[in-house]
Amino acid sequence: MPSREELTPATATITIAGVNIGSPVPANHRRYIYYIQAENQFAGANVLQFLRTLVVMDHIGLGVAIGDMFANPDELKEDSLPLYIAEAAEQLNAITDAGDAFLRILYVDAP
Amino acid sequence: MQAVVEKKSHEDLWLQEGHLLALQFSEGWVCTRILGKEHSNVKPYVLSASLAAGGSLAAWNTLADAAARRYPEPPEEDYIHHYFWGVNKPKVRVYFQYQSRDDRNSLVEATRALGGDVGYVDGDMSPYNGPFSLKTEFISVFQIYPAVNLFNPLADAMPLVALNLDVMRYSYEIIKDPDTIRSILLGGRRARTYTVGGIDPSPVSIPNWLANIVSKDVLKWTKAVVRGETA
Repeated sequence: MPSREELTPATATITIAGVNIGSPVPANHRRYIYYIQAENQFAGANVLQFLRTLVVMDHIGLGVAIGDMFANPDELKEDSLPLYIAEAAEQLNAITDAGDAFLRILYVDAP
Repeated sequence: MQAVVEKKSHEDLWLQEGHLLALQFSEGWVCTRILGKEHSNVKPYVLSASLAAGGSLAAWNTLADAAARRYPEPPEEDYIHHYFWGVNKPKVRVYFQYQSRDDRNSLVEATRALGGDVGYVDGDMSPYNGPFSLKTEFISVFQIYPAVNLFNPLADAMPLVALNLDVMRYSYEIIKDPDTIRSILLGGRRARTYTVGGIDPSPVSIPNWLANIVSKDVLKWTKAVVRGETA
């Protein structure tokens, strides 16, 4: 994992309509996502899909209570490898199937 | 497992008392002997509170304080400034002009463009707390100083882009003995040589006050010595 100066946070409240997260990946760069945290804002089971442009990268299942949280990894270390990689010009987005969820990621853009 | 490249510390390149330093200007070489040294630094020097995505500074920055006194430029003729720097954002691209309006570090016939992929040093190469890249080395005399600009290649704004400048100030004496100058320039004596500014299109022009001390004839003669045209 690169240094803390490189880490960029992006947050969004994800809805069933789908929401973009952060900015598009710049040209000649890839986006390395090192940390993801999702928190259910819906009082019921909720599944969050995490996508790069139209490609689904992950499904995150959130429990029935508001505030149920998923975080990966538990502990971000200096030599952590990225969880997801998005390519140049792609846009990260997410969509839920039942209600709102709060999403936070930490990422680095690098050539 | 990541391979790690060990960098030589820039502090190994500070000159000591008694060392010889030869500065190449476009008119010729000025040979000096270092008499004394004193350390200083500027940390942080904030170049931008927020650098927009794809953005640069509104104007080239000469690294001056609030009273417009430029840190890289010695405040009087008696000193030489020797400095290295690092920047706190790994992907910010730092470009230089030396002197102002002379774009440096081009590669092909076209002059490198601000924001292009050519001719910059970024924070990955020279991080804020070191080790500083040796590419960041500058030596300046009175009335000679660089100008810096930035480019943010990312899609997100960079907050608080700052330099860490590590400076050694030297007092010096100009060497006028032709045999000593000749042995410095031809390698007979161990000396530090430095091209002020760069080579494309030419090194920085010598300031008038220094040209008057050294004399234009001596400067022209030093070029002939380097070319091997003198006995």
